[in-house]
Amino acid sequence: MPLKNTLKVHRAKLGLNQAEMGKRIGVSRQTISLIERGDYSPSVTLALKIAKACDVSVEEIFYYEEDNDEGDA
Amino acid sequence: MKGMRDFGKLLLWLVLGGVAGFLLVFVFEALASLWYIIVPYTDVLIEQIFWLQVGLVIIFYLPALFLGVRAKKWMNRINTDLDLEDDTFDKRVEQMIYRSLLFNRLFYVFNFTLFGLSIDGRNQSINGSILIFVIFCVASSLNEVKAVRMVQKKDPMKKGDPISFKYDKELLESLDEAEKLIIYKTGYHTFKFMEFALIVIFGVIFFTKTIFNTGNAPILVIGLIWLVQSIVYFAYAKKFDGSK
Repeated sequence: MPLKNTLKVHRAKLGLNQAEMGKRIGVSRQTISLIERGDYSPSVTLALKIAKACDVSVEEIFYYEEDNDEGDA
Repeated sequence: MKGMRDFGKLLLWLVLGGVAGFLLVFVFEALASLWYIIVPYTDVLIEQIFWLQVGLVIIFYLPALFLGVRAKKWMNRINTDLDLEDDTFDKRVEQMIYRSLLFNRLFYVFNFTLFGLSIDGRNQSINGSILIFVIFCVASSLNEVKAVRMVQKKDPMKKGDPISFKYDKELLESLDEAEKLIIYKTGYHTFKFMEFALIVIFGVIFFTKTIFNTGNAPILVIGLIWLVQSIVYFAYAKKFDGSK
């Protein structure tokens, strides 16, 4: 999955666990866990909400990184 | 050219299927000889089916209940005693609820299956079988309702009354985008797996009809399930596609 993120780092800076972070954004703990693991790419709306909760821009949390296979092609 | 290639591939699959089917005949013939050894004991199985139902309660229902109670205890600890900085205990509770629901669902399926088998003149404790089926049907339904309420208590965003007919709709509306995706993916994979499983089961009952003489009823039942599943799938595909 090419969309990477630093949500875990930003969440740690805020001193929140996944459940608390989820509550703040309006999603479940499992969703935060999925995003942090890179198993789920959030919608633009959710990405904006996350960025707002962390008080940073979306680009500071989410960034696009080509997979090696895709880059070689 | 592509059409020819597709035809060739399909032909190859048909030939391979035929060969596999031919070889399976020998396997089923071997099983048939075993079956005739087992058949006399099936009477004992039906006569003593009440005890199988009791065993089912012990193996599936009680663990489901135990896990549910344990999850509730852990949840209360999270809310009161523990000052938590990570999600370890949350994850543990979620896993306990998931396992409780899994055991409960397995119990439900087997409970119905054994009840179906128990309605038989050879069953010596038919009243006991009916009683155990009814009591634990209600008990396992309550278990499921309790588990759902626990999930809702843990995550108040999850809506819906589990004993209402609108529950599925209300729950789905209250899920966030990732949870919805998981449910859709799970549903689709289940559908695809069932398509495969139904073909395999159809093959098996076709052989059992010819070798064990099990009759036409199983074929009709599987055909009906397959038909209903296909119609429902295409009806929903049309509905969600929005095309008239």
